[in-house]
Amino acid sequence: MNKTTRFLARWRWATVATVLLLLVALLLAGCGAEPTAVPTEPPAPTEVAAEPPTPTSAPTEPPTPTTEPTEVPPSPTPEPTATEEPTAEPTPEPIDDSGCITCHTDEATLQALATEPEEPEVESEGEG
Amino acid sequence: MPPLEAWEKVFISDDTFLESIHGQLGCITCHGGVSGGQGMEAHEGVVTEPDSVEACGACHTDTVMADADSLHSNLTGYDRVIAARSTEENMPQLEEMMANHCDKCHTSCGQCHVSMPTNLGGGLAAGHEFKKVPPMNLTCTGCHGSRINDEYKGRNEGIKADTHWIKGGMPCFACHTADEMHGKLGPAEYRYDGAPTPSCQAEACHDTVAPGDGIANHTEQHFEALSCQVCHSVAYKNCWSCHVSQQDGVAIYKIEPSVMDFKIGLNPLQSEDRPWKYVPVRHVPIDPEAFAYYGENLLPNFDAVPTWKYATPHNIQRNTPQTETCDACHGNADLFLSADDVRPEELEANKDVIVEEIPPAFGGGN
Repeated sequence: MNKTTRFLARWRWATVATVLLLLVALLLAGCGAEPTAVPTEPPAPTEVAAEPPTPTSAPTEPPTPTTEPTEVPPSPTPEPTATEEPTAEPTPEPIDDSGCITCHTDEATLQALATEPEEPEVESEGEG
Repeated sequence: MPPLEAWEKVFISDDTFLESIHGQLGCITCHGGVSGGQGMEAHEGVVTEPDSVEACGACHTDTVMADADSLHSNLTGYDRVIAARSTEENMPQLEEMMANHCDKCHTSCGQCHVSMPTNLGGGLAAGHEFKKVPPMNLTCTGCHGSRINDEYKGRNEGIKADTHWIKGGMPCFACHTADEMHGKLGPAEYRYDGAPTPSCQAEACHDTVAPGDGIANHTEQHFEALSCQVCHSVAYKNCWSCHVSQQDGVAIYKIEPSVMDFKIGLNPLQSEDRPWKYVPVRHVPIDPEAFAYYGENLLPNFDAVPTWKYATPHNIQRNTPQTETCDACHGNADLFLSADDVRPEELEANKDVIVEEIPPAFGGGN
């Protein structure tokens, strides 16, 4: 073997050994390492609302990434308060117009009570 | 008809009304007031004349909706002509004048169908009965009394009643339909806006009258030149110089005595619907100073509208002085409105109505 041939043989063995070492390292890494957890938390809000949200705008929360169908737990039913209780329509009181009818069908009563509003004498002249 | 006594105005003389469909609504539903109240204290909040839309609209919806277009309801005819004679800056004073002197003439549902018109003092017309057809002698002629009623019923001395009344006994609504009264014919800016309503030649009226119908003088030329009233009406009232004012909050009207006359003028409303050259013209009571109580020079454009107006007198006769002979009209200067008939301050306003050249006489009678 000449000098060049010996050099190439040594290189070949060194390359094979390096490749084997890398394969062993990869194998060990694949079996033993913990999976890297991807943070799923929503980013912190970068802006603070300058004004309180209006009652009509529901606060928006970023959706939680999930593959499972999201079950929204039923919101707790608020305790009924006195003001929120469904109020039954008040039964309208029957209109009592018997007093109107009693007077306005009685000629004598009307003659006794009815008066023409007083108006000053006016001076209209000629045909209307 | 004299005004009713105060008690008569509010007396339900026939209590069968209470069983009627309107009576069963109850008093307070339409008039307000105090439920269970007794005596005068029950009147708190009472509305004497219920609003047409609120009280009637729920059931009579179509009619009430159309009523906004009724000249009886909206008085657009008055608004239009006053605005034409005036300017925008005078309108506040004129609107105040209208509110004090004109608006009570407008009609609500109740003023025709239940009670007498406000300007006659109001009051129930027939014990609160709702009249499907208003009583013409209390409602129609209650307002249209001194001209229309007197003409129609022959109450002007020496002038016969209208043949539609004296022979036909026709009430107002025989010609003036409910649709016309209720604005169901569509919006109109004034009484003679649109086609003649009523029309003499309407179906089932004089629908066979036409040129060549065998009646003397019913010629093509006359039909083109003359409205029916030119030949078939007679002298009617003309009014001058109405002035309005107020005293202690009460409206006052002063007007010169009316003058009976018959004048043929040039048609101020000549159109496709009213193509005639000549029509009777009536002087209306407007005056340049009519509203001076409310401000100076409120009618700066007084001349914009004639004071001798297109007229349809309600004293129609088959035979009139005009129909006697050809020369009753032809060559008869007395019959036509001339400059001499017009007051000097109104000449400009009537320049388009004055007949400068009358039809020449034929001579020789018929």
